[in-house]
Amino acid sequence: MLKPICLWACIILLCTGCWDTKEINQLAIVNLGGVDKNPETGTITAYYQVINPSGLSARLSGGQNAAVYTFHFKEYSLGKFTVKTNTLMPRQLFMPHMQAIIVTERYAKQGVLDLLNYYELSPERRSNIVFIVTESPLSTIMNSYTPLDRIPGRYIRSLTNLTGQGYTSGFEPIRMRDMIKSIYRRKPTVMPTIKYTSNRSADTTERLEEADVNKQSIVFTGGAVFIHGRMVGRFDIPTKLIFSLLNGDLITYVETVYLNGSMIDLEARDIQAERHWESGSGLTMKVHANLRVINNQQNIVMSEQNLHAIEEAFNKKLEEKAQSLLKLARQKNWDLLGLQDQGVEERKWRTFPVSFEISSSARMIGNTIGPYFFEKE
Amino acid sequence: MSGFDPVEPIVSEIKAVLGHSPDFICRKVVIQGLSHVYCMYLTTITDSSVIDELIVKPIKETSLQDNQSFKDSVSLLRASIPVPEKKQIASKDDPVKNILEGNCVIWDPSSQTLLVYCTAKNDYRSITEPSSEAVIRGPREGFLEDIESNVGLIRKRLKSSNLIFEEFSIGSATKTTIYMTYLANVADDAIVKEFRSRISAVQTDSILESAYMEEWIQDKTFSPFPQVLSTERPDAVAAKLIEGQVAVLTQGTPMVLVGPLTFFQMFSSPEDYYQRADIATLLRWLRMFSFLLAIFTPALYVAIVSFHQELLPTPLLINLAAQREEVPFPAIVEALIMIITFEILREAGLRMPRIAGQAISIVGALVIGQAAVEAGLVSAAMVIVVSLTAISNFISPLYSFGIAQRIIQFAFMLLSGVMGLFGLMCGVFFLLVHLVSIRSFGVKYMTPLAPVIVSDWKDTLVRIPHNWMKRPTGSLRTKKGRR
Amino acid sequence: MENARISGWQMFVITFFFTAGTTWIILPGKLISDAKQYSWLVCLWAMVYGLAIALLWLFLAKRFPGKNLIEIVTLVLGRWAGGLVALFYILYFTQIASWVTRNLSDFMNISLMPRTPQSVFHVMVLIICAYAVVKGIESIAMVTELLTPYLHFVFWIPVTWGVAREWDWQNFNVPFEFHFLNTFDQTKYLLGFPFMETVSLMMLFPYVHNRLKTSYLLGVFAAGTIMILSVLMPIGSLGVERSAHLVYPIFVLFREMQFTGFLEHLEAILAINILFVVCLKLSIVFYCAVLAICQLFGVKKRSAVAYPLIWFLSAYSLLFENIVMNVEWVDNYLFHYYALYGIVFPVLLLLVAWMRRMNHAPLSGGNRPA
Repeated sequence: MLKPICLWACIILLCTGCWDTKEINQLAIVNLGGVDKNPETGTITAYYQVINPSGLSARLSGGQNAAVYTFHFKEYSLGKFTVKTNTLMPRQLFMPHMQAIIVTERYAKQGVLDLLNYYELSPERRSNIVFIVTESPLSTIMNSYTPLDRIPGRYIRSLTNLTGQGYTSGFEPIRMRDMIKSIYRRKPTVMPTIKYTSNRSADTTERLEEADVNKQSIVFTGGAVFIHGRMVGRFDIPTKLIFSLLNGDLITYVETVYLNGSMIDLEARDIQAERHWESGSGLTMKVHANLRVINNQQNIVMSEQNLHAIEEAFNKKLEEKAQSLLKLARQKNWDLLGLQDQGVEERKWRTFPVSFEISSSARMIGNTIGPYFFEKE
Repeated sequence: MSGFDPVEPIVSEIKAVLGHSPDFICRKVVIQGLSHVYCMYLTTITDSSVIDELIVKPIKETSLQDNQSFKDSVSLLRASIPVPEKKQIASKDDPVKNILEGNCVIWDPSSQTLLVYCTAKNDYRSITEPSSEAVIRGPREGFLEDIESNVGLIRKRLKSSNLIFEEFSIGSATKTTIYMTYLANVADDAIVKEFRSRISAVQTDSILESAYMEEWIQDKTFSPFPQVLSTERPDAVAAKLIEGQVAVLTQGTPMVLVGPLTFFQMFSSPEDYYQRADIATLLRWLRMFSFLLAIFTPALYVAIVSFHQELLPTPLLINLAAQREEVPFPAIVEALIMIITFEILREAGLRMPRIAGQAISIVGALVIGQAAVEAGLVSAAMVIVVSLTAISNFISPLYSFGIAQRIIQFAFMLLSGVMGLFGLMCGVFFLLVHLVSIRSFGVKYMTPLAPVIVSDWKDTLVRIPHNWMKRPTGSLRTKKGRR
Repeated sequence: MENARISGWQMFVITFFFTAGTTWIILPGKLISDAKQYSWLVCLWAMVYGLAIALLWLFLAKRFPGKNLIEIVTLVLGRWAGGLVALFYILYFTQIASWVTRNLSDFMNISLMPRTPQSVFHVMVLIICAYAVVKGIESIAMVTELLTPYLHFVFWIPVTWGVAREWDWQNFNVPFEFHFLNTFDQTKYLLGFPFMETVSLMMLFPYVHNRLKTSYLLGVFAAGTIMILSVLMPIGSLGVERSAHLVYPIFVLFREMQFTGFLEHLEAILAINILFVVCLKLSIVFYCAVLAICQLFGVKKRSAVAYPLIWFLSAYSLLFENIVMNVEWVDNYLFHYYALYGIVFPVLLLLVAWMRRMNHAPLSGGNRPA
């Protein structure tokens, strides 16, 4: 008599296991998120861009259906958004598939530490999403449709994946986890900035019929410098690249040098940036790269001498850029080379002598031995 | 002459015991110069030509030869009948048993002796290819329902004096003949003894098929996994006998039982040895992989779609969500509907007359599946999952293993529908403990993976070429050191 | 006692999974927050301590060959005192079992399935472990043997690949001054959990007929190595501060791994691994508990004890209200609690045995009384 009762008790007890079922069609799959915080009132505005599955699937739609829908909410505290979404969103908020998060510049300047804390605590949210700062208004970006890759979150993610191929770990260190890692470090971390090319958002699918993408699109403009989770300034893209290069993250880099009055484009590959400390009183950064000639507009034939000259020009150019970055760092009090994290004391790093030794070797020259040129009499 | 002499009491006794059966014949054969004898037999199970030509006729001819050298009828019978005499019996019960076995019993009133001659009718089908175990390359002989022919098929392949056959007669109503066979110089004594004791201990009234024997002699009743192999192929049985296993033949069925069986033997088919070693190894791995596919696919689909959507890559999630937009049922209900429908189709396909059977398979698979998707009852992904599962099910060379897979896949699906990945993994652990604790005639079921016997891996996980196989399997504790 | 045999390799994997089982999931977070980038040193000396303690127990077992822990206790201390100590040990085993169960349900609740009540996890996992216990130690040993290659393969391949990409030596340069005694005092709990829990394996010693010493010590050593690695990995790829703040750093490590384009979200593999490892450890300790009860009270069938014990254990697992209380208790009291069973009782047994001149040293290969 007791055995069947126990068995039934077990079975009924185990049925509560299905409290965790989530029906796939009841989920609002968020792909892109945007956050803004008003500096005066402290209100947080959150934008959620939700994927519309039937709009995307090849079978059901006719190609015109909306791929994403954007919701936005205002709240005082970050944790309340999961409940606030019930007032407007017909489906349950599902965050694990978010690809990127966009933060406004004014929020970044206030410090995003509260956002990072919230993200790490919540088991649903992942920290390996791309973190982006925007110069344009958030609503413009969040309410726009993107051509070619119809889900904007994926659009942004593909863009960053493509650039990421030039980095040592296979992707650019611009994710939220890199931000979190650098909270306690003295070296700033640089997150990409974007802006929207037009003042009007492309909020209808007619946008997708237009061929000119540049008219209304997201474009990456540079880097935002964050120290301890707060934005302190901005770079442009070339400075951002040099910053990554000198810190050992970048392995592929394109540079233009001028030689004999003409332009040569070089691709530096397998860049190795090593640091040699001289008994606590100086740092020598040795950078070595293999060069590949992409574009050669000189009007002399390529020879070994010429290649050496190209290498020298590249070395000089890179050293110039490194020195200017160093000057920028000292001027703005940003420890861009991470000297303090590697042992230099706080009061000494600004005057710490740093020298650069750049070397390169031209390895590949492309399909032509020498450029076509026309000798003028 | 088919009359019966009311004077002979033994004849009427036998007739009474047989219930005055209409096929019972008692012929009185007169021997010149001596007395007459009575031939008793059942027409339905005896070969009438043997009785006419080889028993009655020689008696008459010999007696007409006017040879007075025979002292009595018995010696005359012995001298004249070319059919080998089975035995001479005395007691009263035996004649009925022998008559029921199809023998002809001759009663000599003058010396009060009964002689039994073997005249049983042997009309069985001819040797054909076994329908359930067809191979591309290899012999096409299959066992028959007659146990004597089966013994012959085995003896043809193993011409060894160590091949022992032990006879049993089981079943009070059916009196089925069971032969237990093994190679005495290879098979382990303990296993043989175990077989013998289990077969002798069977107390039942009928053994109609080897499946009855299987249920009696197997170790665990409540496991879906088979613990003895059943096969129709003589070459497979011969190979297993050489490895040191024991076979049980049953009269009336072509399925021969071979034991002990381990889990990994269920993945090998005899064809593995008739193809090249590398192909055989790959095919074995394919079978193991399809076993995993068959039990895990529906359960994983249900678990991930209902509980753990964060584990899917985003494009896949979007596609699944798009497909499930209009489907009214949750994933577990959908899966149950599809799998039960498929099981119904499968059973119906077995019973359909052969002509209509082809139509069912095409109709069932394509039209019902497609129509169900278009009607919005199930999602397309579910149809794929179910068909993949069903097809991987058919790969198993042993049919009872395929049945076990279906039961397990069902159980896993229910578990994962209730508790997600957690429930599924609990089920997997439970299954592992269950598998590991099965013993087939004393041999652990999951040998050679647990306990680890590395030397056995060469024939279980891979199939190494024949010239590399030097030592026989260590798990069966066979006597021989080398092949 | 059943008539089982465990081979040397099986003992090794049992010891390994028992010791390393739940440790590498729960410990790194707390340990890294206490010892920062020197956590691996802490693990190293804890491993040395574990090996030393294991030698002590092996010595005790060698003096009474063929007897497991409960039998030694009742033999040495007599019926009443021995019965009391044996009862303590039974409580100890059930304590470990309930902690293991609670760790699993905490993990499941936090990471994968937040809304399911914890009792469901408890009951479910205890039912299948009770089934394993009823089937006997040979079955448990064989399942462990079977699962070992899969668990290792599936864990190490993604981890090596993922961690190698994200390794950053800079992470080890966190400003932290290493004071040996301070850190030793703060991380005492590591000496207890898991290395003093392996005294439970003394219940299985009589089943191992050859190479007991090698397999046991190697198991402890391998578990220690795994722990060192599992502490190094989060520091190397996530950084000290982040690992110190996360509850399950290795889980987050798996979560953030991404290969190629589509191979992401690998935390499912880790969750499955954790589940299997917990089931193995729970089966082993559950078996020790059930065996102890059966021997002390003379119960013949294990199933009569195992199935009722499910309910007791699932209730006992709910002892702490949340994980923070658990961690605080572990921080303050664990070492002292475990020291009673790991050091005090064995030393007591040795002393009493020496005083009573009991020397059951091996006579002729150590036959066990049936």
